[in-house]
Amino acid sequence: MANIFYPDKADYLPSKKQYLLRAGFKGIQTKLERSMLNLTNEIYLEAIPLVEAQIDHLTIPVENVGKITIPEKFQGVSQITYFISTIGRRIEERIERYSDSGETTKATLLDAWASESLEELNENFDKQLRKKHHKGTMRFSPGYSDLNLSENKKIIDLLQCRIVSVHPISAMLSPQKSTVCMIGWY
Amino acid sequence: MTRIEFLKRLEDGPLYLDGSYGTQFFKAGYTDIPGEMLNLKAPEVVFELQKKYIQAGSNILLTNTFSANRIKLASLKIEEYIDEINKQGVLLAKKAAGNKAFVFGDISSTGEFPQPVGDLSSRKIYDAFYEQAKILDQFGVDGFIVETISDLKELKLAILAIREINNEKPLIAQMTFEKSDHHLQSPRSVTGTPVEVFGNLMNDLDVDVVGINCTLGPKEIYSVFEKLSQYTEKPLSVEPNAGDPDLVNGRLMYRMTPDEFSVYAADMVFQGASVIGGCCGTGPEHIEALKILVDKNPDFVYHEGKNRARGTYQLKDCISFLSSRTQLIPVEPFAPIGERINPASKKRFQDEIENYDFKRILDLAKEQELEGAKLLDINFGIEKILSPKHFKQVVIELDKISSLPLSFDIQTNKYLEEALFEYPARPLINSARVTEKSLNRKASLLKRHGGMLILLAMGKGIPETAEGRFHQIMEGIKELEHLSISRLRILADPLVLSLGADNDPAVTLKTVEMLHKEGIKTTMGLSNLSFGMPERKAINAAFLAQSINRGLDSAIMNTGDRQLFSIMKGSLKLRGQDLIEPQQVDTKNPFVRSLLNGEIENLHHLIDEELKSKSPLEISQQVLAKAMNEIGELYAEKIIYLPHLILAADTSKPIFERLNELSDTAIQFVGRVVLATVEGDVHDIGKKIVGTVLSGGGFEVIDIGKDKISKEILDAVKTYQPDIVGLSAMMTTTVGKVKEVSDLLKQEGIDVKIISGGASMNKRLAKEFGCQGYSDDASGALKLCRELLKIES
Repeated sequence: MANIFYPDKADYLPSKKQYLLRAGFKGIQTKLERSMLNLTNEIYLEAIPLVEAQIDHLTIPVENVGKITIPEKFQGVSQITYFISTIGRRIEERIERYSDSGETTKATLLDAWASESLEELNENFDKQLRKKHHKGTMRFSPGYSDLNLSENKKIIDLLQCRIVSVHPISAMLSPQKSTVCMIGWY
Repeated sequence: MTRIEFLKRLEDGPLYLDGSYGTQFFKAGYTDIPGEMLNLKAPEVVFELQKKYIQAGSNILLTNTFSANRIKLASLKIEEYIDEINKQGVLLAKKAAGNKAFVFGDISSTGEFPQPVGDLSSRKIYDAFYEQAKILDQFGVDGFIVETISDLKELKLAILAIREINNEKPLIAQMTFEKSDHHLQSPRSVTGTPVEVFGNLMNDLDVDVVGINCTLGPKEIYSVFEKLSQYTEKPLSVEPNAGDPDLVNGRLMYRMTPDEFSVYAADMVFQGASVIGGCCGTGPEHIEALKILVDKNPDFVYHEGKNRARGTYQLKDCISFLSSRTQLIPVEPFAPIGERINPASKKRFQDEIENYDFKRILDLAKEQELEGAKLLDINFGIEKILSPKHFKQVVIELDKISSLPLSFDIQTNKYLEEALFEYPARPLINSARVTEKSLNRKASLLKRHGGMLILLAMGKGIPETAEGRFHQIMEGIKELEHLSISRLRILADPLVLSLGADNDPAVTLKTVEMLHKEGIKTTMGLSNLSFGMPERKAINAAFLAQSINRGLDSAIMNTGDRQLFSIMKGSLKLRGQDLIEPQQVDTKNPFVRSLLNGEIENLHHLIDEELKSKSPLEISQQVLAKAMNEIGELYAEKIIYLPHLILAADTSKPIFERLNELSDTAIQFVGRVVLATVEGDVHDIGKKIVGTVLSGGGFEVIDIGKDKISKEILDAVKTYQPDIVGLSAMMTTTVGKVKEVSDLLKQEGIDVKIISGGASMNKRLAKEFGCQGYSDDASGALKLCRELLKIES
């Protein structure tokens, strides 16, 4: 059974710089026009109360991982932490609503915010884990390197995660702003 | 900590100030005691709040001494505690800060404006700041902050006083601005100073950080901040409010969440703010949220803040500016300086000045402004028979009626110092010779008071050749730069000598050309050329044209000579430039013009003419009232500024009185208004201005004063039976008293219209309190009163 971590707001608030870059404001060293700046701020504020952040996590000895594939780069690790993070469904619903009503700018900005929020959440949890377990591998997710997307389901099953599910065909996670991650510890 | 160490620290990233004190004390239930008195009566409350700010991440803690100057404390009737309040303020902050934060001595307004906007002398205000700064310094603050100041002159006096006490500690100087209604208009302080005048002057004055605070929330203050950043090269600071206040369960609350505050406030750090905190309504949670968000973006566009702290930030458009309290005037493309406030060879004019009769000076100022002068030169000549008071008084009078910057051609050092002490903005000092003594003296004045300097191409003698004069100027500039005066602050004078004494004008022209090629701006006393010659006008005009052709940037000249002025414009055209004409009041109403210029005699003449066909009553209620209405509209459109509005209202008073005396019927006012500031509130200035403007608009105004308990206001209403009661509340802690008065009047069944105003009021609150109207300025109050009484324009 996995442990559940409910993060503080500071753990998932994204950097404004990353949020704007993700939204497509390249070369953000130049000033945004006032109206656009206000819109990006309005979306930033709209997003915060929509977040329902949670992380399910489990650290187990490498010999107990069962059917889950161990990435090649994890050679020599003694333990692996699996974690499933999400910022919830409500933000995704709001993005869809904007998208459906033709408010594409807002949908794009909110989507960028949500992606960066999830990334911020993972980064901060990653730092917490490293403080505890010290020397570890890079953080990996299925779909990258030699890990197939199908590993998502195995990990979700392992953690008996109820807040994130995986589509049986596409292996996409639901809610979409969720990730499945792993870190090996030496 | 030295100033250099402080600036070095700013290079590492922003410093966080704390948030509000007053609203936090109010939230904690301390509603009936001045916040500063808590240093003595409940120090643990102050300490606990400051500890929370430290925990939230503040690394500059302010002493709880915002209002602890003698003038303000006297108005609160706690003057005798001045030493203890300030001393304990420092000790408490130092204890809370430990080694985690700097402690800055907090200094704010005296609650009164210096003359001419208010009644207090500059010296009295300076002394109050000096006294407070001395105590704060004595007990060991790390630096000073002057904040929430809306009058540029008051700010300057505070800076001068602090620097007199200590010039080795960092100083942050902040003003408060209203937002502008239009993106092309500059945000202005309540006394009419645009943010760019403030920013530009602060480049000169001995402050380390320049900023804005209060009045606006983080979203609205952004445009003010942006404008400020374009006009100052110094590191920037900002402390927004937590939005606008709301009434919640009978209490006034600022409800902007820490998230909302931080998201908008963080943008200003990204745009270069080096010091950031919160003002009214903000608490430790706002500072904490802001710090979290900013810290997530350590490298986000902060380079501008770093460069400012290093002193390597330079404005893109390095134009040289001069300013009055209401206008920033660029020297480029050309600055005609009006020469006629000069009584040379005019005995009667000299006598008038000696006897403090400045009417002719004020008339000349207005005339030259209308003619197109960009600056006014003040040259009395007869300094031996004058005193510092003459110069002080003339600066105050001109500040009241003219929007143009002044050029001080004053030879006696203490007179010049007195004029500069009174001057609120960035003047031109005319002039310095290239001698060690003259340069040192003028550099010292420039550093203390700000401004630009005319540098004469002469040392102990005048070089005969252009090369000699050019080298003389360059030598002077080198010396001034060594004394930390930038060449951008210098107008070089190649010297115009009289043709009649066989001087060669070609030397001057060539010197202008050489200086222009070197990028040095130039000016000259044009009329000297033709002194004692026939056909002076033609000679002057021809020489000006040739000088402009060689790159001249400015001239002290007769702006009333239209031929000369036309040729100046034509010459500028030939070098591809247009003179930017100052905005003039566009009115066909001679009453409006005379009221705005304070021309009482002229108004009497106009009244004499009107009396031939109209009754005094008709003139009073139709002609004068109409003119005041137009003036109100000009103010609302920001074509004129608050000092103009006050001057017009002041000027109208004796005219109304005369008409009333001439009238057969009893005094005819359009309505009667009782004004009062509610209990616990000692802010009086705004109410006084409203009273002045209402009087000017034909209302009978009975001002019963400040800090009035509700019962006293009720009694005044019963006694005077006004049509309207105007209530003022400046502080968030006193605004509820407006409701109390409103409820009391209703309980007593008194049928009177209630209007309200003051910094903490707003339209929605006024409605909730049962007021029939609200206005945020004097002109709006006049309009509102006329509407409520259904008075037609």
